[in-house]
Amino acid sequence: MTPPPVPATLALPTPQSGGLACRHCGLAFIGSGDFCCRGCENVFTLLNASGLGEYYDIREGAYCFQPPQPVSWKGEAFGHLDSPEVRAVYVTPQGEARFFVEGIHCVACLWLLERLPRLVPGIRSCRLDVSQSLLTLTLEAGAALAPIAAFIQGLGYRPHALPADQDAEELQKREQKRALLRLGLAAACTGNIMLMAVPLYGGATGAFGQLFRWLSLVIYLPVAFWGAVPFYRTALGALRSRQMNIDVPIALAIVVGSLVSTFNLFTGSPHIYFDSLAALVFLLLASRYYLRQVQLRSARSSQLLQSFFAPIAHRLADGTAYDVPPELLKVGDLVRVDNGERLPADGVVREGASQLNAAWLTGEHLPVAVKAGDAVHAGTVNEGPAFVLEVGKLLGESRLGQILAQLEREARSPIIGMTDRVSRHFLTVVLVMAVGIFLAFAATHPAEGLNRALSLLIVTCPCALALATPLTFSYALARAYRKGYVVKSGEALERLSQVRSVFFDKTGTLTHGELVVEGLTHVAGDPLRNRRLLLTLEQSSLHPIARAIRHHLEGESTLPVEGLEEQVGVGLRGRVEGRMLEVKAVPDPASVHTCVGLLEDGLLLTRVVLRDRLRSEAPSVVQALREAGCEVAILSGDARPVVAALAREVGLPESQALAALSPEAKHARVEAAPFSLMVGDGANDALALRKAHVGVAMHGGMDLSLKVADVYLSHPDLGALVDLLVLGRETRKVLWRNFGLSIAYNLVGGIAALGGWINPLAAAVIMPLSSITVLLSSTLSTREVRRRFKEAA
Amino acid sequence: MSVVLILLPLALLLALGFVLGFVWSVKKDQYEEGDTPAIRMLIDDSKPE
Repeated sequence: MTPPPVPATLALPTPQSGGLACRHCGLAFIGSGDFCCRGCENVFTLLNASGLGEYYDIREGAYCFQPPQPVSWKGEAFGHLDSPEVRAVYVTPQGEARFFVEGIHCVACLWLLERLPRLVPGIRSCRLDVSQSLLTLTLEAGAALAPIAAFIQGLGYRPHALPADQDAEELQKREQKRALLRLGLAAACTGNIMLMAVPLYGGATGAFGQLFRWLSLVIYLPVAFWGAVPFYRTALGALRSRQMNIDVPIALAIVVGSLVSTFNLFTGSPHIYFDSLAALVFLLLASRYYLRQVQLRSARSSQLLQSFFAPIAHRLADGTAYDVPPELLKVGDLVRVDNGERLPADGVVREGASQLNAAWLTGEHLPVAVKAGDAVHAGTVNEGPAFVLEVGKLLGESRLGQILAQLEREARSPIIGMTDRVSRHFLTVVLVMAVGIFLAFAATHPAEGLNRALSLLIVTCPCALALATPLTFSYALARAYRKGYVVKSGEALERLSQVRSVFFDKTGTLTHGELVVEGLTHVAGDPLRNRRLLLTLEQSSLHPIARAIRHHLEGESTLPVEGLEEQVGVGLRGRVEGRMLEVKAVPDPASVHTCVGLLEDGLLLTRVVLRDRLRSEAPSVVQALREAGCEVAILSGDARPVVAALAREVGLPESQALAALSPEAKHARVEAAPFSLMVGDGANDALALRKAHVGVAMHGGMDLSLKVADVYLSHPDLGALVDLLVLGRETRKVLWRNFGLSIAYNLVGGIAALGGWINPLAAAVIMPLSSITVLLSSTLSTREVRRRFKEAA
Repeated sequence: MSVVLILLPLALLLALGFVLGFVWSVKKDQYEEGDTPAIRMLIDDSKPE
């Protein structure tokens, strides 16, 4: 078979001079051979063996919607998907299953995945939604899910099964469909009524005039009785709870307008407003449909992200491990916890010894050693070898479960939006004035009074507020979304504009959250030999320090070693060239960082300093936030010297670096500060994220943080914070600008209506004109926003 | 002007036709998702094997 040509599109980077391009993923790599990694090679072989080599032809020059990535070879087991209790979670009674598939990037991916029914038995049909990376499969009765998931993984993607929460989703879908139908119908009716209105404005009289008027009524009926129903419903709801909302005057204008117009039609008066009313309903429905669509999309992406973290427990029975979701564990069950996994329950170590990272509880990123008989907590991460855990408490009773439950209980108190507050007063004034003008004329000319009151209601109809506010929010949310900032609601955006203090978590937020070697100091011996000795000892340990050292010494060779052993919680030792070598902690009182040393027969050869690296953009972001008038502080569970050193690095006074805080203390701090913004990632921040005025969860955070945060950043870039604060403030400006514009229009129109100088034509021109102005104002936003959120061409 | 009496019902019938077409397309999930179909049509039919 001829090798497929390397695609030469813009999206697929061509190899650097002298470099090679991987034959599967097309990315440049350093090394030899045809592939950048084993994963890519496996996928290439599988595709060609299954007669799917066409994949590469399709991909050549294909349109990529996401940059391609090498296959990450994480052989996951999916066997658990087919045990009856688990299967019920993922497969609907109709046999539908959904996967969130990581790694979809181009047309060829779409082609490949939609061929699944021909490749794997048991799939009836299959559909991929590329914008959400969502694969929906319809299974044949009784078909197994695990082989399908394994096959998708074999193709080089990472499938995450999504729990089938059918009811909620179906309901949303049905609602949106109905909203779209209403919108379409209102649009059609509006257009056709305008057709009738043109000859009327043009001066049609007599029999034809009456014909056009009657036809307007007929076409208007579906709008009044079906299209506008949502406004009646919310208005009634508001009135019942004795509140004022924007739908009250809208519904009132529609009802009164329809009645008056119909009355005028019967009495032969020329004042009918069916065209303006239909246009009003159509525009309002359109802006609300769009806002809802944007909100649903960001809600769905944060739901999909949560599926990344869906945990699995390996329950042991008769010596074999069965994978189950942690909710199905019972007290006394034995569970195997592998390296890198999160503990599914509180309990006691039964067999084996390991190191656990309790960063979510304490913020401390160095692991703690545990051995058989030790009590351990749910949510901590196993950073050492696999061990067996006996479940002591169910998830719901564990510390993690309790934090989760507390989060579920504390619903956010609703904050009344700014425009809502202002418009409430405005609306009351308009209503009082309308009633007033009607009463003033009621005794003498009731028809004239009704006309003027109605002109007032229509002309001052709070279009700018009702229409522009949702539109302004949805444009802002969509702008943020395209940059990878998932803002969960327009209300969150409004709260962003009020932020006065910003709190950062340390580990994983200001820093990268993983140790790297800062430097090696060779105290004695030959440096090259020392490096080799160090790598020799660290070659197989799973400890984060070992990983950092291996990364630092990559490419160095190892020496033969005898009796290499890891002493959990102490270090490593082994015999090389007949001498006893050790790597263990060598505390350095002069440094706040983690220090280990390489010792030969007890003599220190090399000192290694490791630290959690600061994100490069952190100091400039902190500076920008302070310039924007925000108070900035660090909240950390870590020890004081470490936190203080970090504060110096980002340019904060030591008084702003708060160390050794428990999750509860963190949330108390955040709660005490008014208009606070909390940025965090771990579960230990979840409470603080919820308590903050605005909670921002960083990329790589735990599912918990995602659930409670208002904003989720899909790339780990702190610069997003400055963007978001600007977006919040500028959006607020746009809202006020719209407000000013509509008030100006309303003052002119309102005075004219009260004075009775306005005719239907003028009202019909002023109303859409004011709407168009505020629409333009909302879409254009401000120059600052356009600059920061420039669309990638 | 009496031509209006023919044109008007015609125009309204036409409009009704489009509305029904729209209702049908919404019910058939044509607006469910707009991104993938735009890309799917770029894939050529498989070469004869």
